[in-house]
Amino acid sequence: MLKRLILPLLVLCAGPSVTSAEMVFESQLIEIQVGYDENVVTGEFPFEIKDSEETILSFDALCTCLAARVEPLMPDRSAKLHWKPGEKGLIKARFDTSKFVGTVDKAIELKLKGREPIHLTVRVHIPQLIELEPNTLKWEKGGVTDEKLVRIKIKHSEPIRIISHSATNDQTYPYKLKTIKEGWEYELRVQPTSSASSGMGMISLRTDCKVPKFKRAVVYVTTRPARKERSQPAPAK
Amino acid sequence: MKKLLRSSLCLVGLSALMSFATWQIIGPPDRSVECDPADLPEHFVCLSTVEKWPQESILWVDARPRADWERNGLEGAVLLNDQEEWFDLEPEFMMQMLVETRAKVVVYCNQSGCGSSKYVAAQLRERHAETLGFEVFVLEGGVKALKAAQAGGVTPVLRESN
Repeated sequence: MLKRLILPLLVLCAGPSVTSAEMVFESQLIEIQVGYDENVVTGEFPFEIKDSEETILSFDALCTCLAARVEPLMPDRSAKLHWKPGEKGLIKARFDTSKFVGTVDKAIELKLKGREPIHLTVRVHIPQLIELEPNTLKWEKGGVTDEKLVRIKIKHSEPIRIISHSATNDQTYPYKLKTIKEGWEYELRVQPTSSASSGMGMISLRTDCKVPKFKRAVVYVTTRPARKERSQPAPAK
Repeated sequence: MKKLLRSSLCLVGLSALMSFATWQIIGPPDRSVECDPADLPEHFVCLSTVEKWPQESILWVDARPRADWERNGLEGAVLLNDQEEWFDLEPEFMMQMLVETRAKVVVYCNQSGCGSSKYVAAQLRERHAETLGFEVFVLEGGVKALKAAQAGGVTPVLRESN
């Protein structure tokens, strides 16, 4: 009986096993400095197959903003999924950065037969052209309704002008927008009429920037109760 | 060949029987997302840590696409993602922070590698955390960790498990 069981046991044990990767990437993280008006950037992850054949089961971008493909393509333009030792290729990532500012990480998940998934990360750095300092003004409920200031600075090689502005709740939060240097620097001064109750407002600024994501900037104004207890320390890392 | 097939079937049957017995004796498999606070990157947090915080001090932010948030977002979670216009979604977040002062904001997306929660957390940290006095964290494991916790009967509650 034991002999009969040995062979099938071996067959079962010889199934897919997770071993070290044979698809070797030059790097699994690439960083790209994106121009303020660039909406699409492309990153490449070159790889080489070492020692044994590899089969790609899937390559999925973990964001709708990212598209992935394996190159070179097959003659029929389909993805090449079976790779032999010594072959070289690349995973190409096309990143739609039109909605982002700051530093953004997006990943492609590559699944190979019998191996742990590989994550290939595209990190982009996108400049913020309109700096608001601060983005939010806060008063304490029942506290002093002093005037507060937001400094608006343009961090660009060309001027960006504020062409219009509007606010929600400007009865409670009247504001004045002052031009310090047209196209480069502005000041927004807000002084609430009362702090008797909690409230919130938004001041929207429209600009003449040609890049859609910099056509709008928003300052929030809020009156909140004083915090009774301070935040606890961050959990142990 | 017939012997091999018979033996294989025998093994499969035995395995199934043992699995069933294990399920009955020990219970269902542990599907929780492994998370060791010591191994986490900066600003990431394990669900087990979040569960120890007073729930009223937390605002949950769902960084997934709107359809996912509508289908099975966490009860009370605010939608704030990188697929829609930021300024269209941010006011609701600000309103929630106004309604009840929260010391902590926890952002989740589909999984740790999706990147959206990292982006949203970074934006909130940069734009409002200092002025409004809150800390922002990314939930390790994302919605998978929440689903596993819900399956184990642990709070918080997803609107609909699937």
